[in-house]
Amino acid sequence: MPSWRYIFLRERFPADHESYVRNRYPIALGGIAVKRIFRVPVAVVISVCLLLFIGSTQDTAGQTARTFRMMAGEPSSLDPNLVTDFSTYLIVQLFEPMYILRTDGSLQMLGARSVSTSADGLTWTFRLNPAYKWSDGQPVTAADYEFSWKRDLDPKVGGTVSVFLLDIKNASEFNSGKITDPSQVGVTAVDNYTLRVTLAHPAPQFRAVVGLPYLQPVPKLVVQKWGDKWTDPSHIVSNGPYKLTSWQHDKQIVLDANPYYGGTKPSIKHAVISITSTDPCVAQLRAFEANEIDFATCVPPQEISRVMKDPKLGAELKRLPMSGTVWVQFDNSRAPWNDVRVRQALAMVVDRKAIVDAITQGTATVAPVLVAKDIPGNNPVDALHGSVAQAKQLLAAAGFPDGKGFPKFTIMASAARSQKQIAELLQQMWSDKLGVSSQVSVLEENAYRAWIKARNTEPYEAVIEQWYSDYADPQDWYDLVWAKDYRNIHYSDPAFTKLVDQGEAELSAQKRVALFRQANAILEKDQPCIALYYPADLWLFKPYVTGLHIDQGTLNLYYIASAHFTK
Amino acid sequence: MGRYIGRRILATLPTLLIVYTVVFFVAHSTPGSPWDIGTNRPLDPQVQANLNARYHLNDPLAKQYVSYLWNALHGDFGPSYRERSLTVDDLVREFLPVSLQIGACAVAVAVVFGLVLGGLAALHHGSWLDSAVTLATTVGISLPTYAFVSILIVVLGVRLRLVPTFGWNGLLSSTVIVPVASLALAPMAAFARYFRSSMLEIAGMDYLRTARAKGLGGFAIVSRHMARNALIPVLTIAAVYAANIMVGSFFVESIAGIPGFGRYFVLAVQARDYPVIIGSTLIYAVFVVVMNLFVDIGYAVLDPRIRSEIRS
Repeated sequence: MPSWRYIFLRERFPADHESYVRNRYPIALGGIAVKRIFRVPVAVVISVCLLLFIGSTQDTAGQTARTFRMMAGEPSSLDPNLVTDFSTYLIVQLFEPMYILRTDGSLQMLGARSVSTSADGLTWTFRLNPAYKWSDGQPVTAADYEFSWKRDLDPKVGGTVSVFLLDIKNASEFNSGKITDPSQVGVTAVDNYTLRVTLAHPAPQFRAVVGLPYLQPVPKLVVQKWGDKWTDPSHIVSNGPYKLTSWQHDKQIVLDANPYYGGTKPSIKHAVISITSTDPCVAQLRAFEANEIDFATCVPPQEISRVMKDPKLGAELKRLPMSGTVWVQFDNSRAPWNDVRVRQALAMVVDRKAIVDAITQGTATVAPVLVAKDIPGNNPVDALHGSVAQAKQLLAAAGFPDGKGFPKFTIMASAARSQKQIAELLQQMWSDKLGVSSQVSVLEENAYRAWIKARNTEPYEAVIEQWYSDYADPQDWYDLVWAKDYRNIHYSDPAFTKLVDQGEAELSAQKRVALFRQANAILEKDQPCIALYYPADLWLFKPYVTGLHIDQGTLNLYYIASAHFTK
Repeated sequence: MGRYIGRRILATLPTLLIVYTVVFFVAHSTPGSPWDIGTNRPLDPQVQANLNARYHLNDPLAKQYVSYLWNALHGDFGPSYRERSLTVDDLVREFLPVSLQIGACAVAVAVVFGLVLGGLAALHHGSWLDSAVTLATTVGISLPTYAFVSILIVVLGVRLRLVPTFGWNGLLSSTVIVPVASLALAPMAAFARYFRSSMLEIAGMDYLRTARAKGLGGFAIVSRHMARNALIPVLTIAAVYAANIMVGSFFVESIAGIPGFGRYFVLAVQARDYPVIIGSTLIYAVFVVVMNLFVDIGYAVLDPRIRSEIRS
């Protein structure tokens, strides 16, 4: 043994044998042999463990069948006038709009009884349903809607919702501060249950916009009384199926059924939404597998194949296609991207199925055309088809035989949404089949958005982007994405723009769709962006929960109010 | 001693000011804005202008710098952009105590187990116990925190159902196991290593032989003569680990669903939530400064030579 161990040599040998034995041999503590010196620490450790064990029996997740449990990220706000991000998913449990647009275009009336338009399309009259009340018992009146929609536009409030109401007369002037009197905005409460809206120009898409969660009403008197703090659990009142019982920030949100709700009373009376601040998909899958939540809204990409193959989880998985497209876009104002032959050649060699399988394990749908499936005007027949040989010919005709002389370009991608992997697959496809070389550059999500915004004036080459429908109307796609250039694609074709402008103003539904279909044909021929896939939401339900998803068109919202437990 | 502490505290003020300046300018020069997160459409320029005007982001940077500093000195660290109904003070008040509880618990566990393991390994130098502890500490130092948290949650939470997979129910519940264990692992390993090697250094010293000759028993020598000297390097690194842990770990809190303050370091940067970035960095700086001060006081307590140096 090391030389300094002598300090531990025991020299004291007691005279009687018994004390020697007692000193020498360990003391038993609860059947475990420990030396005397460790008596106290071991006792402490054992009692702490017991305490923890007792404590743990008290917090097994309260599993009464009546509580609906789920998980979400912390909402930035529960004020419908302020936000258009994922907080909307929680806001729609508390508030309700005038109606919801179904997939087939019909209206499911909720807060309103009827809607009518004048012949010139400029005046819209909404008659409200008097059965609807706030969760404090007060009726929902047209004054509440008028107040909310004007608050949506108020520059001092700074809500992102304002962009959806700019078709209303004097709305953009009020929002930009050119006029400061809100009474000039074209929203008026004619009487307690009638709301009249005057538009600045005919806008058929307004019908779809009114059904959006962003146009839900807020209680005028409550907001005026409490100001910014009106969403605190002690002040907030809502007109939807649930009311907010408590909101412990970053911990959990508790909802209870609204006793004054004017629609069909929900079957689930009590819901607890736990808040996660990490990747919500990973946290939800773990909690779902541990039976701590009843419903999960996404599956992490790396676990999709395991979940699908698992017999239990696979049966609980539900795939919901989203109304949106992921694509790769080019700067159409610069060479060589301004040459349609170059874009068509690159489009023809993209193997979309390989991308869908690699990135989403087959849960997404291959996108033959750019515009989402459920948007009128979409026509998969217009899809561009071609073989690798044809693509090579086009590229040669454009001046780059076998890819020689084609400048090496950068494909920009965000660090989120597997965009880096998509870019790498495209890089490989283009290099293998056409001899065109590129490099992939990745940006952090927030910096990526700032970079895209700066592409308004700055040049770029290629970037992976996407667009999701805000509402089920062709104007949201053809006009905003390509005519108004919200994604800075810089595509301009006079025939296309003319068709889109005509379609926007056209009041007859059939003629409108026909115009947008013609625009679709031009778009697909020109290929300003190459469509890749239509993503899909993956939900997990416990077998005893049904009815969460209702037919409500473009946004894959879930409504706890329409779900029920089947035990 | 009191004057020494007073002088040390005064000397930290310029440090805090420099930290504030650097964080302020770095945060504001990062590309990206606080407003267009999670939305499909690009932010309407008018909306952006409205929001910037409301939060005074259009003012010249120097003016924002001075006004934020002035408000901070009066205790107002500003609103959160990411959570529009909360201020930085609300965040600190609601979430920092949780991080502190977990952090203090983790530091205590790391100190106790680290010193015991390191001490045992040193005293049984060359035996299987020493090799086992060395191996365990290597693993403990190299295993990343986020990996360990995930492993614990999957094994203990999903497979064995011993602990909930997320949430915080206070220090006396089973939700304390995962965060404290994962936070304490690396410091425990580090303390064990440092303590073991400094014990081994001291072991051959002559004054130990003198103590034995005077008749002191084994445990008394270890605790009174060996440990006090061996603790000095451990105390130095303990301060660094303590400051890091007590202010909250982003990984542990995010993955285990703990409502603590450490998440905000990363969440605020991702969201470009400038007041929270600056506020949380300043709090961390204060922690580091305070821990360093404790270390210096600790030296004085442990080592009489340093105590007399301070007095003179």
